[in-house]
This record gives sequence, C-alpha cells and structure tokens, in this order.
Amino acid sequence: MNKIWSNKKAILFFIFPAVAFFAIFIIIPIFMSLYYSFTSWDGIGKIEWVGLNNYIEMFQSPTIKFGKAAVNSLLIAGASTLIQLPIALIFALILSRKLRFRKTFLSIYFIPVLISSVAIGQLWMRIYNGDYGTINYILKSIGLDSLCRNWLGNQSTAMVAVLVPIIWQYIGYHMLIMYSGIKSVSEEMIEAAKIDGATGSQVARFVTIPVIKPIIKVSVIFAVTGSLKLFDLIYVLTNGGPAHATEVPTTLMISMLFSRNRYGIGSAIAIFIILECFLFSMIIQRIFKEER
Amino acid sequence: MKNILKKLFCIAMLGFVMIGLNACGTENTTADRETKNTDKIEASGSDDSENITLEMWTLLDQTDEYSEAWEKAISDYEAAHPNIKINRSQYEGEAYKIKLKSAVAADELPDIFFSWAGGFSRPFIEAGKMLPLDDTYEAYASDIEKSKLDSSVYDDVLYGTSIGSQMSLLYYNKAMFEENGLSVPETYEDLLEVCQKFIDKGITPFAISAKDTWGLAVFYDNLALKTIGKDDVVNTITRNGGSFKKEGFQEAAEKFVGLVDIGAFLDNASSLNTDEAYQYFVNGTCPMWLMIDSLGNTVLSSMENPDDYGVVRFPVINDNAAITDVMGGSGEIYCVFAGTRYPDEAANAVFEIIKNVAKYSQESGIAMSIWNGDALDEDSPEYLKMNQEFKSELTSSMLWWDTTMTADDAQEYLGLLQELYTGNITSEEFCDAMENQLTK
Repeated sequence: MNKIWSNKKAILFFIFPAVAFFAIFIIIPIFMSLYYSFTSWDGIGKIEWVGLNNYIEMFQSPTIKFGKAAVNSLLIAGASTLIQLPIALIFALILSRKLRFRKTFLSIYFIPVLISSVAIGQLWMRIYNGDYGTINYILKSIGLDSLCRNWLGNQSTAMVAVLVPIIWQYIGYHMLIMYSGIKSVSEEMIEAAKIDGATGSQVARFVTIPVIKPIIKVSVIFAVTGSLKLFDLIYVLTNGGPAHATEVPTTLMISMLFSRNRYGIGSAIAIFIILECFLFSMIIQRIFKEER
Repeated sequence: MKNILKKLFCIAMLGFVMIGLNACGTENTTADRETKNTDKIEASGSDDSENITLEMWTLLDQTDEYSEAWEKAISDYEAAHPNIKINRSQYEGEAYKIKLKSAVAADELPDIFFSWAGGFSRPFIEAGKMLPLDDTYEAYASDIEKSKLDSSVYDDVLYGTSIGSQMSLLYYNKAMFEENGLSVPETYEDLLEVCQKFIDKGITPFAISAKDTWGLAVFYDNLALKTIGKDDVVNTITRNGGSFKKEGFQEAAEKFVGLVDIGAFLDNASSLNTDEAYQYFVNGTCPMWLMIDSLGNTVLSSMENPDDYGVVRFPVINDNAAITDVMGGSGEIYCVFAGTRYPDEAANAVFEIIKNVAKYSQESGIAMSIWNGDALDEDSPEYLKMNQEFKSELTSSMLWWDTTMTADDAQEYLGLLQELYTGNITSEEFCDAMENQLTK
C-alpha cells in the first residue's frame, strides 16, 4: 500500500478520470461563460466582442435591477446563516442526547430535504394562497382577518414569504451534518465537563460547539453559497415577482439567457455568482481561522 | 505477472469510464445533422418500408377535448402512413419558451415543433434552424390560402402552419350581468360603468393573472390599439419610426392604471397564474375575462353549459380604431427543424396533422379553424358562432406585442407592465422606460 501511495504516477492515473470529468463539466464551462460574458450574443447567431459592457450594464442599468437582486440574495444568505443554522444546531444538540424515537425525529426532519423543490414550492403556494391558504384560514378562524395578506403577490410580504420555505427545507440537512459532528465528540470530554459541574447547556456551549466548529464552518459555507445560487424555489413560488420583489441573480440570469436572448449579460451574472460564492467562502474560512 | 495484470485492470477501468462519458454525449451534433440533412436531400426521401419516428413538441393541452383532437389527428396520420410514428411531447407555455431556446442553441430541436410568430421565431430563422415549407405547401394550397399563413412568412418564405387565427375576446357571465341589470359594454365608458357597478356590489369585474405578465399585456395591448390605432403601434414596437412618447401610449397606460385603482382586477392577481386566474371566471366569482379566443374557447368547451357565457370584442375608445380592429392573428405556428433527418416526411406531417387538429378542434368547439371546408354547423355553440362572425368582420388584426417585438424588448415591456400594475412606476415613467428600451 505504501508503495502505491508513494507512486505519484499511480495516483495521477487513478484520479485522472475524476479530474477529467471535473474539468470538462465544471472548469471548462466556467471559462466558456467567462468568454461569453465579454460578448453580445443571442445564443444562436453571431458572437460580437463587447469587452466589459455587459458588466457595466449589469451594475448600472436601472431596468435590469441587478442591485436589488444581489441584495435579495444576501438577505437569503443572512437568513440562512442566522436562522436556519441555529435552529439546525439546536435540533442536533437535542437529538444527540439519549432521546426516545431519536432516529424517527431525525428522519422526519430530513424529509423536506428529500422532497423536490418544485413540490415544496407548490405546497407552500397553497399554504400562502390568499383565498383558501392555510395561513389566512387560521388567521380568519381566530379573528385576525386584518392580518390576512396576499403573501406571495404583495411586494411587502413576498420576500419574507419566500424565505420561510427556503429556511424550512434545509434545516434537516444542516441538522444531520451537525448531528454527525456532535456524535463524534469524545464522551470522555463530556463526562469530564459534567464531573466539573457543567450543565447540559454549558456542555453544549463550552465543549460540544467548539469541538464541532469545523463542521459548523462547512454548514455555514454550504448555507451561504447555496443561498447565493438559489433558484428553484423562487422560480416556482414567484419567478422573481411581483415586480422584481423576490428577484435574485439566478432568476435574473435565467431571464436574460432564455427570455431575453442576452447570453452575454446572462453569462456576466453567472460569473458574478461564481465570484461571489468564492469570495464568501474565503471570508468564512478566514473568520473561522481567526477564531482559532 | 501480477504487475501486468494490475496494469491491464487499470486500463480496463479507464476504458469503462471513457465509454461511460462517451455514452452521455449526443449523436445529434450540428455536424451530424448537417451531414444527415445533406444526405437526406441527396437521397430524396426515406424508403417507404423504413420505420421512422418523428418527434413533435407542442404546448400542453388545456382540456381533454383538445387532447382528443390531437390524438385523432395523429392517429389519422399514422393510419395513412403506417411506417411513420409521431411521438408528441407537451410542455407548459412559459417553461416551453426556455426549453425551445435551449434546444435551438444546442441544435437539439425535434422534427416538428410549436413556436410563436413574429419576433420570437425570427432569430431561429436567421440562424437557419427552420425548414422552408413553400414546396410542401403547394400540395395543400387548395386547403388553406397562403394569406392565412402570413404570420409564418419571413422575408417571403413560408416557415410554418397554424391551426387557427386568434383574437382577443371579452368573455362574460350572462347570468351575472342579468342579475345586476347590466348590458354588455360597447364603448370604454360603458366598460368603466359596468366595472364600477360590479365593484359597488362587492364583485371584482375581471379575472386576471398578473403573475403570468402576458395576462396584463392582453389588457394593455388592447387599450393601446384602441387608443392609438394599429399602424402607429406597430411602427413603434418594431422600432420602425414610431415613438412611445406619442400621447396615446400614456393615455392607454393611464386607463390601465385607472382599472387597477378602482379595483377592477383580482386582489391576488400577482400570485395567480393564468390557469388559476380563469377559475375565478369559471366559478362565477368574476363576471368578465379578457383572453385570447384559443384559450377562452377551450375553457368554455369544457363547461357544462357554455351558452351561459357570451363573448364580445374589446370596446371602442376613440376613432383611431374600430370595434373590428382587434389584437390577434395566427401567432401560434408549427414548424419543422431544418436539421431533421426526414424533411419531406416532417414537412408533410406538419401540414396534415395541423389540418386535422384544426378540423377536430373546431368540431369540438375549441378553436376556429383557418383551413378551408371547416365550417361551423348549426349545433356549434353560440360563442363559436359569434367568434366566427367577429372574424368575418375583421378590418385589421395585430399580433400580440410580446410576439411582435424582439425577445429583449418584449421582456422589458412585460416587466415594466408588472411594475405599472403594482404601482412602482407611473404611466409617464412607464412610457419613458419603454421609449428608452425601444431606442436602445
């Protein structure tokens, strides 16, 4: 075995298929998008080089409203980090104790992750429906008719309405990641803390959470980058409407590419999303490194 | 020996991976299709004994009756051509636009496909993706006049065929009008009065979708046409000398906002798609529905008592357009992919099948056929007879703005219309933004 590990040619040989796959389906398309982002192209006809015009238009054009889309994506990223992850952590900490039906609860919380985003979107559209939706029905039945809204059709409530299923869907996913991290914490450390008089919450705060910090870092990176490139739920729920209230860079990108035949500016938005995700990953890595 | 076997094993694994990657690829590259197409032209048609399958993409059938019309038409074609099988796939409208454009860019169009006329299909034609059909049309010249296929003609070449010619109609619930002592509006003032009377009784006049922004466009397109007149509108939106600064456009926008402000549209229109919105008309919540007749007739054809509903044309606003000037035309076309392996078969199939779909759907009361010999009989429902009467009185028709304009202009228009509807912009800002877009 040591002979194999010391043989660099053998290593290269075996990782070559995976690297080739990664290069062909991920790296090369990114560079192709980069090229298209400097062109004016309708996806079918002639390609015309326009330099940075697409990027300038993306940031400056009042009709594209890219700024609002970018802010919305940051809002989703913030909500994912500050709401979704703490809830996932609390669930993971509770379920890591010797709880009855623990495995059943784990499975139940993980179900939304397994369901198709389209199905979840359709479900929540019914919940939010202004006429027969669950939320308005409950509000009416407890005499709070004044609070009934057209949740997805109203510009002031649409963004919050869209955030709820986004957060809800992936709580189970992050909970499972953190749960596996918590289960790997040494029992001796926890026992030692308890012997020193630590309560359950003190053990969680001073022992468990610091130990699973690398796991939390991974969850934060997944949550933030996943939010920045979120598309499916928003497309199904509102398609970026009403009047761009829930627009995010991905819905804008799809609109530019396929509705407006502007592959250049659509590719520019795609490159922006890639760079944004990369930047946030670096920032999160740096934050967690400094805390060590 | 062991080393040799290990090396052979590694090479075999690599080979399996490469075969797997190759299997994921498509044989339908542009070069393949061009080669096949060239071969096809030289070979002049497939062998009659060769079993072939033609792939066809259409929009989703809205009703069972429409599905039956398609199934019958395809069944008739397959019976007449035993060696040809038609494989039809259906797609929802907005998602289909994305699918179609992706397929065009990737050169993966099916043999026969649905598209929209006007600016939507022009880039496909300029890129050489659609097969000219003039030669095939000659065999069907007695079945349909070429003038009825004008929307499929680009630079004097025919590229498609159609089932029917559309027009926008105002569908109304007769009982609700009678109960409230109202008569059908003939002028815009009448329409406003009718709306206000319904609103005063707590009834929202119009079922409308604002989520599918083309639902809003049906209104604004009609308002602009009736306010300004066809020629000025067409010249403006096709960047052919007109200007959105012309007063009529803002007047139309103000009328549109006026309807929104008095509560003529459903409160939750922003969260409803078209299918959800028309349920409010069908279930008697809203007394009126302004819609393209192809969808409107399809919906009424599935109702228990379609004669409980009436149809009228969009009312007159001023002298710039008469009641007989309408939004409509053959905006929906069926075309053949230029790279199909069987151009003769596909071209014949598109005419034969669409001709029969037109016939069967008219018999079911779903659509008005533009093909010769498909006359309505006495038992046809009243709304279809009125529809036919309106079409016979047409003085002009104009394709929908989002079909006539380029894709970029169309999407900008729809986005701005939604902002106008939600009150984010004023009618003046709407017109300024449209002018900026159309002069870019």
